[in-house]
Amino acid sequence: MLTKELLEVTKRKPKINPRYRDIDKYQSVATHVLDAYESGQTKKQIDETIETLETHDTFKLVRGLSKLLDRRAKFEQQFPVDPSKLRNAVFTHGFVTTTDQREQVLATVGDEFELTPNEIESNLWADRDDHAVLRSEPEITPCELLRQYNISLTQTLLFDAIELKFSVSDNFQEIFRLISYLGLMYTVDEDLTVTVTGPTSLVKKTRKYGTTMAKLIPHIMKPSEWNLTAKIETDVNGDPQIYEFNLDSTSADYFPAKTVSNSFDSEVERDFATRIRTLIDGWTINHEPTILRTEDRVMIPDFSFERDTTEFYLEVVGFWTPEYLREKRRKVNYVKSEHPIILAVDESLNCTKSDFDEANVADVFFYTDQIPVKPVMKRLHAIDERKTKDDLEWLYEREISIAHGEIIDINALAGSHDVEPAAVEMYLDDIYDGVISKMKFIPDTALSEIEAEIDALDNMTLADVNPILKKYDVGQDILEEMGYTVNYISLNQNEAKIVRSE
Amino acid sequence: MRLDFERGTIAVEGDDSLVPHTTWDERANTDRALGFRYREIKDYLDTSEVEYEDNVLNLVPSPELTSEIELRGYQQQALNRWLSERRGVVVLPTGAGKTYVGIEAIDEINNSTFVVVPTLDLVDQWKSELQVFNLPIGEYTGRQKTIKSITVSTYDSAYTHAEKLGNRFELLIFDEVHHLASEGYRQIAELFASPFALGLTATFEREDGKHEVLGELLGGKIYEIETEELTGEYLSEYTVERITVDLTSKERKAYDKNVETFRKYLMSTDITMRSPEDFQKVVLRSGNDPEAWRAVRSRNTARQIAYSSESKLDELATLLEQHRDDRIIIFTRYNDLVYDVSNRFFIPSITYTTKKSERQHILKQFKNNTYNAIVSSQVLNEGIDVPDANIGIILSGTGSNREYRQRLGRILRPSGDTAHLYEIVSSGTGEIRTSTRRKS
Repeated sequence: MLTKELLEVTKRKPKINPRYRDIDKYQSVATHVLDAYESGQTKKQIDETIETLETHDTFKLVRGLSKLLDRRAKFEQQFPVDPSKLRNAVFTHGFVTTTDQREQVLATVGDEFELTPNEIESNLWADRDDHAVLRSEPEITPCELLRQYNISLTQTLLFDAIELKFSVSDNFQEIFRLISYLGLMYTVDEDLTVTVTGPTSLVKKTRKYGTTMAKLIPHIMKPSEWNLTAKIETDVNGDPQIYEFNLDSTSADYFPAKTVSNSFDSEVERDFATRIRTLIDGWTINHEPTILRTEDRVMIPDFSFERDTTEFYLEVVGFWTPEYLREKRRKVNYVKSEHPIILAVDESLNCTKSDFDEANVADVFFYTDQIPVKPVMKRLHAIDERKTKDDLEWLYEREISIAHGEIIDINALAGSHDVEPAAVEMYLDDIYDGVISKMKFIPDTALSEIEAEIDALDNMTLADVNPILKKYDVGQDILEEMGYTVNYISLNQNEAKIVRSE
Repeated sequence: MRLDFERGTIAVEGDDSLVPHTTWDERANTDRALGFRYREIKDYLDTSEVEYEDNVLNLVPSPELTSEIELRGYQQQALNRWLSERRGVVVLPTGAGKTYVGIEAIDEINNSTFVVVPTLDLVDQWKSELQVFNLPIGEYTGRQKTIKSITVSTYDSAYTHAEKLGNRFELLIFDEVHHLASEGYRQIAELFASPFALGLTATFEREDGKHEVLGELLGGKIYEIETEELTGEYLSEYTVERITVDLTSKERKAYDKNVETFRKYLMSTDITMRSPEDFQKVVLRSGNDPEAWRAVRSRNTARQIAYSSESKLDELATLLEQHRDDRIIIFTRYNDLVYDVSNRFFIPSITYTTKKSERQHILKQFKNNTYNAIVSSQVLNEGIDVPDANIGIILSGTGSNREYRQRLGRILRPSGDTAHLYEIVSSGTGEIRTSTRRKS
């Protein structure tokens, strides 16, 4: 972060933007500033060199870069005698008004400390910051320095923020922990945009929390996708005016590249993740995948299991303080989720199932020591089946019908009614005559057409039949359904004979 | 109904009836008001006989707080006025013993108290004055954070931490309370639920008129006594002399050249310089206009030449000779100039970068007459307990009325003799105008 007087912005009502510096274009400026930080130079010498680099276009940039480098550089003071002791000795002689008197005092004090008058003169102020000598040069590339500068500008702009909105694709745990650690408050919209304010913000618009909000910025920028909007209050001719600031991950190149370190809350969770990943196929497992809205805060489920259109969350309740448990129960009672949630509860917490009666979750199971994989799998499937059953009922109720005699794409039909494909499969199989192959329903009429075409062939080898199957986009499995058998003589398809089953 | 303190606010839960000053907070499903409304909310609930559970205050435990201080007549009068409402601002001239009024207010309230002051020097000074209570005194600042029944803090630390300190104290004291009126700092008062509050200052009115807000926050000005009424009996009299010096010919040349550059730029634009805001317009343009940037640089150089002119230092040498046997404090706004003076005349210097140990050493040596002069930048401006001096010399100044009065206050110590104040300004520079404006 930089001080406000180093902030450069462009304002065009209602937008405000920091003046970000292009990494390529200003690389040479950053290089010159870095070069000024040469080992052995005093702070004052460095400052003087820096000043010569300033132009009307870059003076704030140059000062800003220099500020950032001052924090990274190591300065050191050196002197033979503590300068404050020298000063005291000098001042004790009373003030001087002529150069002669002055020389005299320097000489007297010099005798006292066994130093020459010149040495006294040059060490008298050696403990001032200006006199400190650069010992180790800042280790940073010009490009990285510019990126640091750009993110610092963003944070400095935020000092005057009265509200910050953001949405991110990842890093939820880190961000929300920081929000509550910093004593900020938030609301979450249905589209999961988070609005951050401070406790008093609802009573009065205040910039008090701006500096605190600025601390969130590096964490918001970590995920691969992010965007933020802030309301910035700035004085225009003495009157406060509100401007809007927008930024998103398409500008990520301007800022330092950081990645989300996805750490687990506990060994128990890490261990579970490792074991279940090797076991289940076809499911995608994500750790802390999203935020879910609850009454007045968010819940970050520990895991999500995703396959096709089906998704489940697993929340592990494995911490031990009563406050934590109370909070967790409040969260799961009010959670709003599009997908079912399963709770895995540590048995040592001494909870019973009834403790979670009001929880808005699909299922609760208990574990000791480690979270078992099996019940999770079983419950995932059970919920899967239950959903299929619900959908099936729905299809029966609506008496969904299909065009007569046409081959039906089951996934498409399921998609158009927003139901599970498995439910459509069962439903069609039950009320229409036909077979299912490659997620297609082939009614008997269509089946007869295919059968007729096959029967009309002179030579019924697999090689001859395949083009017909391909035409209808169905699999070889329907041959059996139609009462054929494929007799393989060799691996050569031309030799595989299709015959009517007995 | 239940009242809780939540990070500088009062959360009101459990009833539909309208409590004054509250707003519905959907983020936490509760009604909420700023902390300082606590007393009013409580009064309202008590008068309307609403039953409520009050969890707001969580006071720092306090032993009996008694001091044995004799107040002067006007101090007692100020305290009595304050005691009727236990809110409000007392205005006393610098050197008239504001601190004692504060100490007696603590004695009267006899409960945990939070004192807010502008600088670390004042923190030290208050802590040492508060020794009269014979208790360890707490400090809540950037350098130390200990909470005791009486705790002293700075405006900056109080602003940053008000949310967590706001329900720990029964009484709030703001020293140099005019600071509280600024946009940011006023939130300190807003976030504290302390039912009682006292403001102290020598200069209640602010040029920007913002002191008006203190009425709502603290109860406004309840007592004021002018310097004139105390002069003679309690404060020493002083004379003011302004000395104008010419720039050296070399300085004059450089000054004129730089001013010319600046003027030429102004003529090429539509900007007329009437106030500091007009100059800000030029600064704003300097980012994308090289001419404006050059103009700003020239103007700053010119100012610096005027402020730190050689002739001023020569004049200072003459004054120093003249007052060899007096006790002298020299003020200037520029740290660089402080070091120039310190280095040329071997006069101990105090700036904001001077380490605390050295600063205390210098003040001690000045007090016991080992040193008889001190040069300082703004750090001595406010309230610090400067040992008696009878000569003040101002080497540069800003146009603020308040600053002028408080600088004068430094040497308004009852030391018997009349005090002198000199102001050295460069003639034929923009400085003259600032100085005249300030006197009016």
